[in-house]
Amino acid sequence: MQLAEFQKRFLAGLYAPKLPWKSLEPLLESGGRAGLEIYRRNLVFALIGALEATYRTTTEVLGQQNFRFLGKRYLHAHPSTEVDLTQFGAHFPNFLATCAEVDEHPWLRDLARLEQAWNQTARSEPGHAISRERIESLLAEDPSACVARLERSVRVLRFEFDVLACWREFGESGRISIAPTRRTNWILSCLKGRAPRAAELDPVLGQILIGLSEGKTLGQLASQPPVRDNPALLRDALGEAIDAG
Amino acid sequence: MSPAGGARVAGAGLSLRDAHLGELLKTPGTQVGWLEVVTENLFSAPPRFIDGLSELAERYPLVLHGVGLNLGSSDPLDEQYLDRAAAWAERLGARWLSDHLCWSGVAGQNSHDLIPLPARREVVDHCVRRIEQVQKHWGRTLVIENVSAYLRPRGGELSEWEFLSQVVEGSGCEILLDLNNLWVNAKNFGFDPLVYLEAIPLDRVRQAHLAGHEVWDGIRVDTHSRPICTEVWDLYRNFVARAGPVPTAIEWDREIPALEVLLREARAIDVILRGASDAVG
Repeated sequence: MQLAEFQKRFLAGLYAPKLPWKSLEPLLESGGRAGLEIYRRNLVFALIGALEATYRTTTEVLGQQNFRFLGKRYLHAHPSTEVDLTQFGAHFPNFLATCAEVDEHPWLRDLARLEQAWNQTARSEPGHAISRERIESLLAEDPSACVARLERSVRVLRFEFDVLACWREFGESGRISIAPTRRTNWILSCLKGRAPRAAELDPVLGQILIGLSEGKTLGQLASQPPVRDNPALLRDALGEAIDAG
Repeated sequence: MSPAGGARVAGAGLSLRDAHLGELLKTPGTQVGWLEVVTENLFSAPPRFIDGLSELAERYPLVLHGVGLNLGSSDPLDEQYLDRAAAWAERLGARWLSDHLCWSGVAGQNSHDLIPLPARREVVDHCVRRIEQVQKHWGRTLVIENVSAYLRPRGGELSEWEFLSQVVEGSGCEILLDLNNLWVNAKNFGFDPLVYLEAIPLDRVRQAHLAGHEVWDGIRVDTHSRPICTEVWDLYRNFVARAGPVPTAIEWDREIPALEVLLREARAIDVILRGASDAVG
């Protein structure tokens, strides 16, 4: 068999939802089936890992088990075409729109698009920061027709879960002992990189998160503007996360 | 950039992971002899990583290690990939670029894995032609690594060591010998790793790798998630006794431990390499 034919059949076998053993058995020496299962397992591990790294908040919202269920279906339908693994999953937001399991939550695809944009921003050189126009261009429909959905997605993106833990502890004990994590700082680096537009999109969230990245506690933030002048702002910014929690 | 003052790649090195970047930057001087950077990790790394790496390049000699060259594929070589890798090597002052003797994708799709090639003469010729193409494009000698394998394509005409040796001899490339991969394959397919060491052109080995592996359902899998096992250390000592003090990097990609754990293994490598240098001296 020619090398090209061998490689095409082998790769199709890796990406198939179920191992097509009958078509692959003639290609391999005995014992090949167990080895193939290892390559299939490695493929899922690598690609699901890449999806989870890009769509971290979407993973949190769906729950890891549900995310992996959909992620597996996605990778079987959309084999990777990039050398760079971090680029895998470009069509995932549109794929979510086709999943009956989540069709009651159309905002999920917007959330995924936003996360994709955050990731591109975090990986890009300084000066290539995400813009509001870029976010809007990610949406499938006319932005004015899906403001409510965008609003919901942005709110979910606020569910910086470590911030939520900070806020809970503050509410329970009046003190904060959890430092901002790498995840928090990662989102913050995006916000800082596009400060004017971040403020335009969500000034309160931006200021709170930037304050946390600088090591301020929620207590300290509460004593400074804009939270000091309107204490409800902090709860408004994080309140839905608290309710969801 | 004047990378690491022209220091040469020698002794124990570390395959750099983002998890250890901050600690290496904070610690003055050098913790290991040199660093290996995965080429593809540079393609979409955040500016923070690139800035840190550029700083480290002033202190440590660097080499680039690719996983995406797709050397044995029947697809044409990706010239855009070659250009990007070459640009990073230039920017970081990389001493050499390595990749794997395997294939990873075809027809525009990628497995993100290192899949063994059919060990046939026509495939040797195919790989030789492509390595020559890469070396011409880069103006450098390519360094190729032996991969771990969990199956063998039917119709092989050559042993693993014959396949590697013929590709090296035909193309003039050099070898990155992964002792863990050699051990894994020896156990998975039942051959003597010393026969392999005896057969390959050891004078063409530019670099070595050491790593840990796991056993899944009776198959040894190169997971880079464990300490280097005793048997691989023994094989490494045997290799160094034959080949001399070849620069050797530790790879650890999953369940990455504290830097100190890797530095302990690096110190053990240095002890073995110094023994070989003394024997030569």
